[in-house]
This record gives sequence, C-alpha cells and structure tokens, in this order.
Amino acid sequence: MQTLLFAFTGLLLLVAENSWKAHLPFDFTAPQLTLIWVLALGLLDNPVRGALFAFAAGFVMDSLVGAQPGLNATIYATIYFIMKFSGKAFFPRSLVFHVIAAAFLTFAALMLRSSLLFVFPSCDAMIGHVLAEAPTQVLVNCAAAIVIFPIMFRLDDLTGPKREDMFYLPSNW
Amino acid sequence: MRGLLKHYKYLLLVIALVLLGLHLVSSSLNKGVNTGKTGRFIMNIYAPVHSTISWPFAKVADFIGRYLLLVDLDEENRKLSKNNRALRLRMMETEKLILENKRLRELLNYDTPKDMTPIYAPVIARSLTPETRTLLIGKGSKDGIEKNMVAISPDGLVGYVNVATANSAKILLVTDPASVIDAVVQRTRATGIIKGKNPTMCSLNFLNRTEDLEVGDMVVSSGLGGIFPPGLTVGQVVRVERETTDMFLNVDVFPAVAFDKLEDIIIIPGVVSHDEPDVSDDIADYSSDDMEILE
Repeated sequence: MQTLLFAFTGLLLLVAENSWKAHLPFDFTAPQLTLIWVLALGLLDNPVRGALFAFAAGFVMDSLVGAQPGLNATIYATIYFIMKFSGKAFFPRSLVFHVIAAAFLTFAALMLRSSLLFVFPSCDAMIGHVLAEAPTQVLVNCAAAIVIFPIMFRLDDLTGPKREDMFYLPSNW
Repeated sequence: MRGLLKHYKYLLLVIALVLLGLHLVSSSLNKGVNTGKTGRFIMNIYAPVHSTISWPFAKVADFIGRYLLLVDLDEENRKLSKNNRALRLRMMETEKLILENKRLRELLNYDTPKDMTPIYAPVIARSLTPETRTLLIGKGSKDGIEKNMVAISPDGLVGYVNVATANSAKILLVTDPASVIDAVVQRTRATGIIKGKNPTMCSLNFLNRTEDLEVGDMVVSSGLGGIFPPGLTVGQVVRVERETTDMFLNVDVFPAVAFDKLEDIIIIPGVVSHDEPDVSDDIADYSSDDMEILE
C-alpha cells in the first residue's frame, strides 16, 4: 500500500515537473520535484525500496527528456545514498534540516552532474551553465522541499506502521 | 562472509545501482543521443499516463483562462480581427502563387515537393537541465511521426524527431549540443553549420572570416545535410567576432523560437525519405567528435 502510494506521489511529481515550465507565466527556474521526492525517501524507512525508487526516477527522467542515459539515474541513486546516511545523524522531521539538506544536496547533485558531463565531449561547454543556475536552483528546490517533505512524512504516518508499535511507550510499561 | 554481506546489503545495493548508472553513462558515450529499448518503453507508456494525470489540471487551467482571466479580451479581439483580415489578404496572394508555382513546375517537368501535411503535437515533457535540450511530445508513430521528421513552430525551426515510439516522440532542439544544422545567412547566402552552444544560444560555425556578416542578419536552414528542408528560420545573428588569428568567424545566433514557452509544435516530413539510411546518429557522432577536430 505504502509502496504504491509513494510511487504514485513520485509519478504525480514527475508529471508536474515535466509540465510545470510551460504553464508558468514568466521565466522561472522550475523546482526539481523528483529530486526532492528522492531526498524525502531518504529520510523514510525501507532503504531497499527507496534506493530502487531513486534509481528508477532518475532512469525515467533520462528516458523522457535526457539525452545521456544513466546520468540522472546515477545522480539520484548517489544523492539518495548521501541523504539516507546524513539523515541518521540529524533529527529527520525537523523542517530546518529539510531545507538545509535540500540546499546542500541540490548543490551536490549539480556538482555531480557537472563532473559527469566532463566525459561527454558535446556537453562540456554546458558545465558553466549548470553551475550558473546553481544558486537559483538551490533556492527553488528549498521552497519545494518545505512543501514536499511534510507531505511525504504525512503519507508515511498514514500508511506506515503505527508509532506505538515502534516505540516502547510509558503506557506499555 | 554471509553475515557481512547481510549487514552491508543495503550499501551494496546502492553501490550496484550507482555502478549500473555509470555503466549506462559510459555505454552511451560513443553513441551520441540515444534511447534504449527500456527508455522507448517508458516514453511509450508515459504519454497516456501524462494525459490522464494532467487532464483535471488542464481543465482547471482552461476554466481559469477561459472564464476568469478575461482582462484585455476586447482589445485582444480587435487586434486579432485586424490580423485576421491582413492574413486573409496574404493567403489569397499565397494561393495565387502556389497555383502559379505548380503550373510552372508542371511546364518545366520539375520534381513536385513531398507532401508537407503537418502534424500538430502537444509538448508533454521538457528537459529542465541546461546540458540536454529535448522535448517530449504526446504523439508518435501511431499518428504518423517518424524519426528524422522536422519540428517547427510558427516562429521557426524547433528541432528534429530523435526517437519515435507509438505514443510519443523525443525532439532534439536546435540548441542541444548534439544538434547540427546546415544553414545559410539569408542576406548574403553565406553557408555555415549551426550548432547548439548553450541553453539559449546557437553558434554559426565554419563561416569564412571575409564574409560580410552583420548583427541582425537572419539565418535559415539551407536544405543540405539531410534532414531540414530549406528556408526554415533558425534565428538571428546577435554577435559577430572577427579574430585576427582565426580562419572562421565566431558567430552567435539567437534562436527564433522561445523553447521554454512551447506548448504545441508542428511536425513536418524531413528531406530524407524514410527508406534512406538514418542520418541523425551520424550527425550526433559528427557533432561530438569531428566538430572538435574541425574547430
């Protein structure tokens, strides 16, 4: 149930991300909604499902609009891995942490993209543009994270195992 | 050993996925712009999923646009009526010219041009990253779209069909680094190669430095090169640099089409017949490796 719900949320965000730019009334850096979704998955449980979802989301992005197969898949899987491990060290439900993580990992994703683009002879000229867009992209993704992270946590609360079952509460003493 | 594998199974999975991704990246290195079978399958099923999910949102946007945002409608209506009258006059002249052209072609026993019946297709996905400039359209081979067909808009050339599946097709924009177009400067008839430079700009390469080129000159497709028919507007020259040591001019061309705002595009047949060998892969290879050597 939860797997289906998370997959559907990812699909919705993918459609929104792909059709977003055409409907905006002004020139605007569109948020990378699927990247934020991958980051949110990194804070939720079930690492195997999350890792597979992250790779699949990147692969679908590559297939639909990417010209280099595997580029987004590699980036998303790596970013998921970083989020999963950094999430353990902090309080994962803190909004401040969400925003900081979104900013830091969006930048990390852009850096990784730039590094991978070095190997493509036709794309190396674009690296400067990837980096030039970084500040705006980080800001926009942070704004999107403020909305998407709480939604994902709410979905997890609704469909995941009950908190009472996970913790030894005083009522059970 | 088994306990160790079990303990690190998650870490191993992520490493395997990252390695798989890197393998895909490296295997696509020498193939240029390419979409494998799985990618084609995803493209094929995405178009109906996209239209199903976005249908209610499109209806809401349509309602808002049609009934709520009616500011300036009267003025727009008047402008459009005026444009309509001018276009109808122009159309009468064009029809007369088409008939005359047809008659003259028959008299000269000249090859009749191929059927240019356009196919209108909605844009359903677009690349948000600067290094790839592609569009996904919601029509495919089921609607008559095939690889190497040309994508245009009323403003000019958009790109060409790089991958076509039954329900959708991927368009490689003229600003993509892998896109190469044989072009001609409209005023001077000087020929060069248009290549994607950055997300908003193309460069006009191999134009002799003695050519008379000015900022504001229009660049159109030459019809050579195998895909694009002649006379399609590519863009306008915005920068001309004459280096004393270079053989060629450094020219920047601003595309005539605002790619970010495209909602629908028109697909027309390219100059290559579909029986002839595919040239787009050659173009992709040419753009990636040989262009650098030539430059």
